[in-house]
Amino acid sequence: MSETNTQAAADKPVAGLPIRITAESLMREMTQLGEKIARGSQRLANYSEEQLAIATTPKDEVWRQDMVRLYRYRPTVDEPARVPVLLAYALVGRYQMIDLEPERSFVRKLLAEGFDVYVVDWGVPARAQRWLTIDDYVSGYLDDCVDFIRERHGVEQINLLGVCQGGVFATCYAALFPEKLKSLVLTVTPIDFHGDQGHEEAGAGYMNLWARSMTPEDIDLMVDTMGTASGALVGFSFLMMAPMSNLTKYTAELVDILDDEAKMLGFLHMERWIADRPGHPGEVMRQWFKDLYQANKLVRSELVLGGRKVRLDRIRMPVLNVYATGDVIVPTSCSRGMEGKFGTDDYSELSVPGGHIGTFVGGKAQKILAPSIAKWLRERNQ
Amino acid sequence: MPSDKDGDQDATQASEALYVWWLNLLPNLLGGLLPKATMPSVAPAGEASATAPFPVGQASQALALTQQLLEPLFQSYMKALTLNPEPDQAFGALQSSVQDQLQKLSHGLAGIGKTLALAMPDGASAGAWNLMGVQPMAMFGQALKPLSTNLERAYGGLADAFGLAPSRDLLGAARDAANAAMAKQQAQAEYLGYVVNALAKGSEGLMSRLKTMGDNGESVDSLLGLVRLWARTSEEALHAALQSPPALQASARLVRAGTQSRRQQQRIVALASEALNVPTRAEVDDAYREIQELKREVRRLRKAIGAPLASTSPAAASNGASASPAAAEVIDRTPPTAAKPSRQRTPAAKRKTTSKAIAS
Repeated sequence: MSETNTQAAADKPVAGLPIRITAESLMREMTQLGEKIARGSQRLANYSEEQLAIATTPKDEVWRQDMVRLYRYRPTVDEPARVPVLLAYALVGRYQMIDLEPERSFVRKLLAEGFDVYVVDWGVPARAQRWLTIDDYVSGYLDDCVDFIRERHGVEQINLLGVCQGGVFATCYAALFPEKLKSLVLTVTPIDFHGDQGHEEAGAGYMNLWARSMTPEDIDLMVDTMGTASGALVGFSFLMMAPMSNLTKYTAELVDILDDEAKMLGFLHMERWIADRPGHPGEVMRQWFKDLYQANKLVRSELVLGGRKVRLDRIRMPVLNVYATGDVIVPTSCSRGMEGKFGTDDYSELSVPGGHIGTFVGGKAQKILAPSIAKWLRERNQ
Repeated sequence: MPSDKDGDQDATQASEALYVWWLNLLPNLLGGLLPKATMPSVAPAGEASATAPFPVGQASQALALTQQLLEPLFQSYMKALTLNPEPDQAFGALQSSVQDQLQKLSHGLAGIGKTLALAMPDGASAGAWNLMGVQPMAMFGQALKPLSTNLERAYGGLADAFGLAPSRDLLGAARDAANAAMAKQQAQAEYLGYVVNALAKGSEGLMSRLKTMGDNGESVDSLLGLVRLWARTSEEALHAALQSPPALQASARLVRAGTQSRRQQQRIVALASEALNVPTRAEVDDAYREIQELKREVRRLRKAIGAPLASTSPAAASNGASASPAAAEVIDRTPPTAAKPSRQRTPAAKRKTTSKAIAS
């Protein structure tokens, strides 16, 4: 903490606890805090929509179906790589995370590396979409997007990059349609949903534990009652993973960054992304909790989608598996060490510092992620 | 079917409501801990906030709330310093007051849980009702139960003969909803008990952390620093407590009870809808299911005949809510290359290289 100082033993308070808050320092702190908040409020009032906009990398909508959109980012090099990259984000958040700010944009970095980049936007499912299953996303929307890109570029195969839940979709896709993929990149993706068992760590994998604490009948009751889970509920489940941090974020932590323009904007951009939580189709949720969190069917190649078994040994294209060392949403024990689970002989792992979201926006991770993926893809796309 | 824009707006509005709820937790939580402090609540966004780009209004509210929250904390600390001039003793006094509050809260919650358990299903304690703020409907349902049972026995068949079955069903559903609401309150009290105990543990953890800091020659020089340290130790305690098997079971019971309560409410609405000849939730969902199955069938057929990936459908494009996969639309037809891929399978060639880790 910034207010703690290492002092010589002689300077320590006389009695038990090292609290140095005196009446004078308290008065001073209160006055300074008031001034700081006034300055911060003034700064906030001056922000424009343009300054707060996220996901500003130029892109064009090239295909749409139902609430799903496919965007192509405008290449920033004259001759982009021949094999395009399709990004698939999770359903629990919006794809804008991969392009949060110009300086913290995974997409911009991939474009700068010379790739032709597409992203699928799953949209905002309404009540009518409650019956959508994982297979509808994988064999339906995702397959159509892949086919569209293949036809558009005149290539047999493309590169598919999945993020978290989108990584699970990408894995299923790679197992069901291996002939259409040149390579598979997974980022912060749970494959072994029981990987955390025996590696329990306070603060990590709460969702795994919570999902397993319920019975399959509980899940059925929940899905049947809710239909499509609201975005607010999805957001709440993430808040509860770190309740105190999420409370102090709007108080003590917010006060800390008031005088730092870049951090303040970063905070507001992130909040804008966090607030934009789409709902979650009930049937996907049912499969996600029962088949994956509870029965761990993916890593065992027992997951069945649309009547077909998702066999990981069919994934024979090169696989790059990226995990975050400080990921508490998808514990690393659920995502790393998947060598031998897939059919490929070309399996690589990349660890990046930071947490789940930090993978895409963290300062250190940013320096590693896109350049490493680009290098890996180039080596395999020749 | 709402357009994409509407959907986006709905999602944002729902999230904004979540923000206000979450921010209101602060005064509710801290209000129970601080002695004699008048705690604020989040004011609704004013005109300026309404016109400011999201989330400027919410951040401004959070700042105002922070100031309002810290003032009573400063005052309490100042008062403690007046009574105990040594900073560590002043902190000790404040800390022990917080611990007392937590203990009272914990005992209170345990008591409420027991009272509610006793109250179900045959009786109810007025004290517990008031404390937990249970909806009047729940009390009403309980009070009516003996009466409705007797009426049912005596006149049930007669009422059915006169076409009054729906109202009798409605009454029964209201009673079930009341019981479910009470079970939910009990589950909430039980879960909150774990949270409060964890906060008390966090408070103890703070003392232990401070002692370690003292041993290392470190000190806390500001109240905000102290708040951050408290938040960290509380978070650790919450993680440890809420990930424990008993707390996870309590959480599962809470979800179960909450869902069953919601289900009972839906049943009441369904009965009323049926009586008024309005489509029920289940009927609408059945229709959606049928549409979804038809969409799948269209997709299967389209792929089976190798139909073009997309066909233009201006109507679907305009509202962004096309009803079937056949209505997929190509927005940009400009192909970067002219060549077409074959639709034949091309199994990926196996590489000889083995698994490797990329240095990070």
